Amino acid sequence: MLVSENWLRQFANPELDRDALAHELTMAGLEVDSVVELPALDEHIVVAEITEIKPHPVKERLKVCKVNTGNGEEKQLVCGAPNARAGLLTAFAPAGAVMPGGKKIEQADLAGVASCGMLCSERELGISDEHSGIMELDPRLQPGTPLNQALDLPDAVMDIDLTPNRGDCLSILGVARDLAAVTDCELKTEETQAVAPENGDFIAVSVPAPESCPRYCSRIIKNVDVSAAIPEWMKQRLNRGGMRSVGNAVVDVTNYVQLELGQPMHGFDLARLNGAVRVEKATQKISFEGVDGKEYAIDPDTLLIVDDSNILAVAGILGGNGSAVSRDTRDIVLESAYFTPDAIAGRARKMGLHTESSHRFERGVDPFGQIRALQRASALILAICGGSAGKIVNVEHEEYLPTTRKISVSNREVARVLGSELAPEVVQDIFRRLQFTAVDTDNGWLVTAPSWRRDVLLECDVIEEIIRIHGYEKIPTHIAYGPMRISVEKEARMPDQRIRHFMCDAGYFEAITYSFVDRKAQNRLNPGVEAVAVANPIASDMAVMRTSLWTGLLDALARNVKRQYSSVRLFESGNVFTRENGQYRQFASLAGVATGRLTARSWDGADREMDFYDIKGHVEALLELGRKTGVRFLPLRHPALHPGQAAEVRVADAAVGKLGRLHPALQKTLGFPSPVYLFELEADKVREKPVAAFSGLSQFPSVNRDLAVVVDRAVSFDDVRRCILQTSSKLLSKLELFDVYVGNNVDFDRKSLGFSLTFQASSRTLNDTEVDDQMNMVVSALQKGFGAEIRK
Amino acid sequence: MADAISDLDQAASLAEVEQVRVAYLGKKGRISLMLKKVGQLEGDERPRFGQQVNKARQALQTLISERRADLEAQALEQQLKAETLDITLPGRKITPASVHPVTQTMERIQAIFSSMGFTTATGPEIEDDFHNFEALNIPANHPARAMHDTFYIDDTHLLRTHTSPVQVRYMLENEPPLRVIAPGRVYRHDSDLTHTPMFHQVEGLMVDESVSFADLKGVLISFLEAFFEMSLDIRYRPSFFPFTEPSAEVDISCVMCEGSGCRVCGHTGWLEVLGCGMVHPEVFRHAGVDSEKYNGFAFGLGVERLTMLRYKVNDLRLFFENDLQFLSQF
Repeated sequence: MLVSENWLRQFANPELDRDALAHELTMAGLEVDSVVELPALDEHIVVAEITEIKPHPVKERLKVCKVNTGNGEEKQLVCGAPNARAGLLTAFAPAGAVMPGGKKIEQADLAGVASCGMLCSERELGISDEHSGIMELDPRLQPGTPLNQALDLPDAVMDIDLTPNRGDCLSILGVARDLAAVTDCELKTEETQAVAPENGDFIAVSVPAPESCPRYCSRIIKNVDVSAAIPEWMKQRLNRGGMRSVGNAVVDVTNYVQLELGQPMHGFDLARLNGAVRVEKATQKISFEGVDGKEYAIDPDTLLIVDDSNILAVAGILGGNGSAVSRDTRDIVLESAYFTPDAIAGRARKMGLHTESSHRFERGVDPFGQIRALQRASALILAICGGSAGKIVNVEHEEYLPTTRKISVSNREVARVLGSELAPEVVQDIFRRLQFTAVDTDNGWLVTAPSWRRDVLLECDVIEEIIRIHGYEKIPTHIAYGPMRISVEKEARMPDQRIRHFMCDAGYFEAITYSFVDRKAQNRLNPGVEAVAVANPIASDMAVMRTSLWTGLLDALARNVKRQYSSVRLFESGNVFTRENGQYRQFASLAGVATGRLTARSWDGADREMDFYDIKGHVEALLELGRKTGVRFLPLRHPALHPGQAAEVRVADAAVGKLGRLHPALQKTLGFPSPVYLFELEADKVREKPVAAFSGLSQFPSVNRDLAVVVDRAVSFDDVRRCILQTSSKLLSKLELFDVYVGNNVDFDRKSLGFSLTFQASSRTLNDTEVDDQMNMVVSALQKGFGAEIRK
Repeated sequence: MADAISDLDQAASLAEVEQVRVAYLGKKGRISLMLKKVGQLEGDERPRFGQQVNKARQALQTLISERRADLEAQALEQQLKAETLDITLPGRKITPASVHPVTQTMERIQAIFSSMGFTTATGPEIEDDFHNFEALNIPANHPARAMHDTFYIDDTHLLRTHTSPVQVRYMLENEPPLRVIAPGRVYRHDSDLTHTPMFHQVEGLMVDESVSFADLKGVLISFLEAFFEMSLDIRYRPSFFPFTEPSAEVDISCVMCEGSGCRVCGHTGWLEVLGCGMVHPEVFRHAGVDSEKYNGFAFGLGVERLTMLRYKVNDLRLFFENDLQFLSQF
């Protein structure tokens, strides 16, 4: 909402300078976002009339003008503006005047013709960006009038960021009311002069949809001159209110009244109406040509203004082309109605529109402000365009007008919310300033808010008003007391922080990527999972919710690699989303991606490239952090992963995630120079951490035996390991693989696995025979199971 | 003896010292042989000569020990010299990475509120219309919905536009008194210099039999001063959120210029950091809380905003580009 300071001060003029006034508005909840100053012009710049205009004797595009600058003075100047013409009133800056920006106008000689000043465009005067010609001022102005006076300068335009509940402040009057309340200054709202009807003309109105339009007022004004010049002050105020004079007096006046009083109005051309006006709802989908010349599809249930043959307007949103007032219109019908917020809300958006009118009706205009606005507009039109007014038709359905609520406000509740008592006189004074009526009750007041405050409905709304005027700063600051309550996570759930810190210590930077990703990219990485689509994505590559963190992470990895980071490790923890049986499933995931060297480049050549076993080691360590038992890695076929370097991660036989190397074909597609390794785990599973249970220490020495077995290469380490574990008794306390050997002394297609077995009993010292028995059992099981040979 | 001393002096290694020892003191060494001769000597010659030889043997033994110690010390000296490293060469380190600054901020926020007795709750990101809007007193077509540019999933589901729905869920599942915060991702259909379509919020809620705006002020100033680790001026501006009444926006004195005006605070000296208010009775009704008996406050803060102020980050979009050059600075 753009508010001219001068206009505002005409209604409420507290003894505050501009900054203080803006501050008061901000602190009252009408946040002043910015203030654009319109400084005073040089006082020598005046209104002047072009009295004579001749072509320049030499320069083809220039003209020589004589201007009347008041007091019978006439001056000559050279001007190039295309709209310069005899009779035009415009802005004149004489030689010596200083323009905004500091340029001084000089006496000049332009190809032999003396020029003693300049005629100015709006841009040259710093008023607007308009620079298509010199200003065209209201011809009713007197030449010689200082331009500051004609244009109401200096002024400032405040941009107020209004919250949606304050529809009542969508006007100069509304802002002034609040300003008067917060500063406790006088609100100058002299009654609008009523225009008495000069004749009995009226147009018949019926409202078949009274619940959407409890009040519809209209008035005929005949013999108006729509093309009459708009007074300069009105043009300036329209400008400063963010609108422009459109050269149609009826439109300008209704816009002006809307800015001043907050009541949207509309003018129809009487000659283009056919029969009575009706306010009714569309019953089917229809097409409608707006005043802007565009075709709109109108949904059923939209409120319309119609006559016997046409749709005249979409109520409260947009007038129709067929009934609009044009410069040739002679007789007009003015509409000033109360359309309920429910009837308007959402409709404009459906039409792809957001108009000044719909903005106000959606937020609720004063249901009792229609006649006043109609009178104000009538008076302005008669003054500017002439004409004779008919009588006001007021079709009112009182039963649908918002009722004035009596809100019970208790002293106790005021104190409960504020945290301290407020003297009743203070509260009553606030009510007075807000024009609330309040009747004392046993424990407080019965309050009625004025008709324009549609947002004040409940006790808490009244309390907010009390605080707003009283000032938040006057509320004390208090440290609350409450019952002591323990709220810690179960020990069996690892804190997320611990996991994040582990990942960081393993060299993975935490990334945060968008939850929506490119559908194609995701399908490549995680096909066969139904993704949740966003109905209105912000970009086509952010159209579906992620089913895996890999899409975003690989994207981030690629971006870093492009920025010349060759070794990058990233992790993310966050929700992923899938659709299963029509239900949305969202659960936390933990994933990492890595490429390049394992450690920083080293001067002694100790660094090396990462491989599969590095990322596997990170996952193993992560699971160990959660004291997991029964962890297994099974070969996995996954379209995004290298078929020979991919594993499903299992904990106690439940799949909890996957890891592997990015498929070389994908690596190439995505432009990674080195292999990329990835993992993704269900975060909830990673967090599980059984509470520790101490199992005692053994006082007795352990016995260590090494065993080298040669098996087929196709036999997996895990199979051999599991065989050893299953065969040996509880005495085997530790099993370590210390060597995998392929080459000399081992048959081709065979490999040697070197194990170290540690035996220990908790209650005695083991003897050699016992350990030998154990070893023999293991060896024979391996021979039987895998045809293993023992290497000596 | 002179021979022995000269030999010893010439011995350059422990092995050579040993050779000298064997040559003089060994079984067939010169001194040993001399000692054997003592028995063959006559009368009073014997003790005198014997004494002399023994003295020489002891002296030589001492000299050998000393020489040995010298040589050992020399050898150690040499070893140390040979093993001397350029200790300024870089060590072989694990390069620790870092937690995302937004997460660091969320962790700090959580820690501060936790110390004030607030638990942490979470809720779904694909939320339904009821919890995101309806229950928060934002009915369909309410102009406040325009404040939330919403991503829709289907007719009844959307990506939550704020963390406030967790309030409702938490109240439906727990009995007052309540103190809870809800951190998480939220989504708005908006993308420009100062908006990203996804960002993070922390919602806070306190409900009890008599909670006042004064209590809210106490919690917020405590939090903000703990977060910025400095004393702050704070101001409350009346505002509007459909789910709180009264509502306020909270400004703090600029943490960059301490209120004197700079680019970050738009030369106003103030920074808007959060929104808050007393829970609207309509929200309590939807959440099954008796608003006659209980009241409470709620607040919501933008995590990216606080992170930017805390760590002097000047571009919101950097948070989601995940550039190592950026991430490694935190």
